[in-house]
Amino acid sequence: MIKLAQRETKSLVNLHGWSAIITGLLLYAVVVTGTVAVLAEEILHWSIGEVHHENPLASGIDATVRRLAEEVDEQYLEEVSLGHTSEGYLSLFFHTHQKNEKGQLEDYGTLFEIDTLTNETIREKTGSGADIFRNDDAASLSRFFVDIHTELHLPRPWGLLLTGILGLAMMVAAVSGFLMHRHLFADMFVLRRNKNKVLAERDLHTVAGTWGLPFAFILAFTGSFFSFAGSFGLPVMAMVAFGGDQEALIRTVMGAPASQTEIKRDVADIDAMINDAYQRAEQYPEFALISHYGKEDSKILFNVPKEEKKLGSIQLEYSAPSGEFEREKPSIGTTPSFGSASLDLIGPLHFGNFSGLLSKFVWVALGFASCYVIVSGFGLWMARRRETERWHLYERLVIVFAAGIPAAMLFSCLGYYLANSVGLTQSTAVPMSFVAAAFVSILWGALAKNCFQIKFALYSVCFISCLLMPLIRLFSGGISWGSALAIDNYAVVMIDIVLLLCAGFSFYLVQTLVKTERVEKIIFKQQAA
Amino acid sequence: MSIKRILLSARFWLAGPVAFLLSMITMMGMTVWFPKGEAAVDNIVMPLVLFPIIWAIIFFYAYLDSKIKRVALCFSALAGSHIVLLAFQFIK
Repeated sequence: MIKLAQRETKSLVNLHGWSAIITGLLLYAVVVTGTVAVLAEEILHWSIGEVHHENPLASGIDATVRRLAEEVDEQYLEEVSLGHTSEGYLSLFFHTHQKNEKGQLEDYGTLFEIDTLTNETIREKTGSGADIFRNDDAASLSRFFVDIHTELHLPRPWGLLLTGILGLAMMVAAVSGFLMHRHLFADMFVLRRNKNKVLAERDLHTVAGTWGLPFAFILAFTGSFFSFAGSFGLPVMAMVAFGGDQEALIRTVMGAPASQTEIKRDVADIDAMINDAYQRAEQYPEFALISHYGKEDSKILFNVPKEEKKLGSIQLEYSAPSGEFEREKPSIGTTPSFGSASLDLIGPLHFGNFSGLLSKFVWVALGFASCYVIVSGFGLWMARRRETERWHLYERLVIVFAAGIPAAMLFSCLGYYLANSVGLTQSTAVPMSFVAAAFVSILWGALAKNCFQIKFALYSVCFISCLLMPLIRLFSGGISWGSALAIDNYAVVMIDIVLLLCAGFSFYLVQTLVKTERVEKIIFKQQAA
Repeated sequence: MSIKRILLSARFWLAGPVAFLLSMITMMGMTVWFPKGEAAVDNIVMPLVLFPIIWAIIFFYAYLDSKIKRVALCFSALAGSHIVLLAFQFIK
């Protein structure tokens, strides 16, 4: 245990409290949406319903790629991304790299979505990568949750900068929380439930916070990295190491050649290369990138997910004209390195996807515990200041955030399912419903007589929404559990069950709230008498 | 503590904006002295990865050290050495 002087401990207690009061509400918004975003892929499959689970890259795509390569503008053959859409169709994005009006390099080209069973073109669109992929209506719900978590829906780079700073604030809370404990190990097990209410709440806050310390630190660290690297880290490093040449940075990091040849050479059989990748990695690739299509120096990079319980993915590089396997490529650079290995660790540690659903659920549970730590911390702060008039408004704000954000997220799900019946696109209805629900929550927070009324209304809304959501999904055209299981879409059943569990939890909160209010009223009456 | 007193305190500025700026300068300077590794990417990737940790160390040091002049001196030394390294990198 680190023994600090009294002055330092007092400073840390002040830092822990004030940093949470200043940044805690936004931090809660990021953590609660992040907890939901851990299940982004499952929410995507739950919201879409009809998902084709067969890997389209395993179904023979060579003829399709050749046919489409003949059709597109020749400049878009610079790079071809092959993958699958949220519905499970084959997606092919033929593109080049152009500078946008802000001077940033951006993908620009034509996207095709192909049903590999019928060879039918489902969608064809030309434009910038950001525009094409942002307007994917089917994925709008899960994308919305991820976007709030990563950027709070603020414009770039400000949203990323803000979430990066919030990550640092979380790190401050975790480190100061760790340092200021005088008896860290004893505090992990002390729950004085029969003592007074504030003491019991303090113990619960300390126990949840102490057990979640390593997790909070890991999430804060990896989250700040993602935000800062995306907002200013990469441009700054390009400026320093490559004199501002981001292309040179990407070439070094991705291991791409500095110059390109214009000599034409046909691409070898892509399906044969996919089968070879399968032989080597014992799994079919999920994603492929063909660089410089139809030229002598063309390469195909296959991204194969590693088997369960292993981190990251395997990248296999092939020469496109000869079809020969060239090397297993690390995620960055041309040879394995410490930097590449460190980077491979950060993603799985942040997303919790290193051991399938099990690790995801552990991450959801720990995220939920972090939300509890933030909200209970506010409660402890308020308990000592309830007599002061100016903190009453802040207390209302805390309740509106704590219960209003989950309620608004549930309403965005409602918007997703009811969008078509009110003549809106899902991409519009999802944020609209969220903003409308958030606005009503804030309004109720301002108008309600007391905190009990705010809590009661918001908890009840969460309970009813969670309980009815599976039915709303079903009656607005969603698939039944039987049909979902028949096409291996287990996410439908799983998220519905999670919602019902959340309904149970919200009901418990409503009940506890009513009981506590009743007891407090009796005590108040007795004291008045 | 009043807001005016906080804004006038040297520790607030050193642990706040200066610590953030210093972390950025350190991160950039690290590209010069950090070993490049076999793939010649470690000096670019590792400072980026370590940025939050660098900031946390600098921040907690500025916040907890009782002698604020010592903090200012250490910060100046760290910033100065990395700025010199960066200057050499650009001249080269």
